[in-house]
Amino acid sequence: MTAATVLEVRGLQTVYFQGEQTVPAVRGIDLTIAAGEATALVGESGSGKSTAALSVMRLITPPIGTVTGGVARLAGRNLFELDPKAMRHVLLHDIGYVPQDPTTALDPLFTIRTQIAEAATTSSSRREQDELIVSLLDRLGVNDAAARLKAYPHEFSGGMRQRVAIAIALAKDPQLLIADEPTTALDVTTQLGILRLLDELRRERHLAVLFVTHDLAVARLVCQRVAVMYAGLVVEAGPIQTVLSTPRHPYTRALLDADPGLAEAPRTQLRAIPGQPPPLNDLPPGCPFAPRCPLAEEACTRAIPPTETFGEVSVRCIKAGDAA
Amino acid sequence: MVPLEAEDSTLVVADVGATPAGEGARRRRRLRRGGTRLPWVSGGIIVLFVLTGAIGPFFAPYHPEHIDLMNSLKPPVLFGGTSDHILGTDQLGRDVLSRLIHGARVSLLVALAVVVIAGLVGVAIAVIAGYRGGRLDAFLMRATDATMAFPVLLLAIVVVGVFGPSTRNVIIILAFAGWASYARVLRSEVISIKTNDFVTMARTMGGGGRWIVRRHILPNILPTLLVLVSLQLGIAIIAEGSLSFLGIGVPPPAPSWGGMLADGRSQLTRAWWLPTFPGLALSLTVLAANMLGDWLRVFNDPTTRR
Repeated sequence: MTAATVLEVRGLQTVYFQGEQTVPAVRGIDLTIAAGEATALVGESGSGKSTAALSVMRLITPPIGTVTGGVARLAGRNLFELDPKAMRHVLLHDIGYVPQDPTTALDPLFTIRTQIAEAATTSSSRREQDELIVSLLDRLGVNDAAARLKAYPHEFSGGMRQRVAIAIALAKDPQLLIADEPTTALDVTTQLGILRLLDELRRERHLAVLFVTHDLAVARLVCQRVAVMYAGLVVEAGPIQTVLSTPRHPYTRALLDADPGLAEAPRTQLRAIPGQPPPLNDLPPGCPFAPRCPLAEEACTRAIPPTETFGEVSVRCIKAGDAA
Repeated sequence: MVPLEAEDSTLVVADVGATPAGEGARRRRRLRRGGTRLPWVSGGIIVLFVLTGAIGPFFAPYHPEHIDLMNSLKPPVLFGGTSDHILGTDQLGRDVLSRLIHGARVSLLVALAVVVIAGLVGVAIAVIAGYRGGRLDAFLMRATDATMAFPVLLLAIVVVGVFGPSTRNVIIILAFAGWASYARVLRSEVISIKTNDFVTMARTMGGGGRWIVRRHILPNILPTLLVLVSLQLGIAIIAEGSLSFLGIGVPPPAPSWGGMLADGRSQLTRAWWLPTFPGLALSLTVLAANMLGDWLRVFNDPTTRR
């Protein structure tokens, strides 16, 4: 990719506070997203993928948790060093966010026009705003948008609400779009529609997209790059085709084997990954995947494996060189 | 057209296809949701109560403290009395109707002041505890528990013993006893609203805590608050009556329903109307407030609301 880097995350660390304890949720991850490029952040529940996304927007704040290390540069500016006012400006103008659950993404008490207009700060007059909102909704496939401006969220279906939520994110005209499992709560046909839409929007607007999902098949549909997270670490990252066709990390391979849409031979028995992810408040000293890993040996349990690069792919596994 | 989702299935069918009609049509539909109709009876009693308290004293036939020993213990008009004293008179010849009307003002004043003060404190604590969370939340909720565990009557006796009985002290006592219910109920409401994605969305737009509270949290707890207020209104009226009945409430000779009830109790066999009318007024008002609260609760039920 030669396009300009929009988001660059280095060594991001985030903890949650749990009583007196701090629980590490993100343990030093790197991400780079260029304009017009979508990166999937993939992992199971509790792997820290949503936390990482929220951390970038500085939304993990006490008493919930806090970012303890790393940088997140948006177009060169380190977001973690901005004063609150500048950060608000960034949030309001540069980062769009699409939430997971469209049923709660909109405040039931306000019309959708009101809610989109809050984000459309660039237009001055009411009419200008209306035009922008209608054109946005039209583009997002909301039928009869002009007539529905004054409708309330409960008058929309789940898919339509998600389109409205996307409209709110895009009304800012952001450089970066962060989508946190935007299709998980939708039925399959609606899902496909929303995914296509996000893909088209990325091209049209040259958006950098951070796409948080647990679904590799979904990631493959809309993303060019992928970062696989496990227990707060990125265990494998690279161009999505390469990673999915020749997975180097045993966890990535296990995920692929467990996915009915991606398993190599159809109609074969899917393989579940034995065991459970380690609890975040009691992480093993070595590779967090070692207890479940078929290739694990003694060395794996001693220290977290360093990141090794193979072409465009980076992997945290001491055995990565043996594979593929 | 957009498919309906399951939770909408109890809605009136007209909601489905139609693009939003005017506000009026929307409101009419809302009023019918959940099969509830407007509570004309309880609402009417509350309106009557408020009107009586607010402007009634200007129309009362006598001064409530006007003593007329020549006309003591006159029965109500339909029970051998005269139309001079429609609800009869007490042992000092004071007009029961006039005292009832002025008593409504005292009850209304106390109930409103208590609900407003306790409500404001309760909402503030609920929002701070629920929205901020963490240790502050734990601390505030333990304070709420402590307040709820405190016996109101004991507090009332102590306060009145130290500062003497007065309407102001009644309000302070009842407000102190009342805020905890608001804080407790609304805090959980705040927490459940806080977890909605629209709050996250607001934060991703750079919205600060205060703005989110004003814009999203407060409007969304309003329905619950209204229910609480109507129930607490009834509780405050009863509590004021109880305190006055025990002689530690609104001091005589000012008329109050609880005080009239207490004075009239000893005359029950000779003049049944003395305790009956204030008791009736008290019961009806509280019953109406509770019924109104029940209706508001059904009306605002989330399964019929969204």
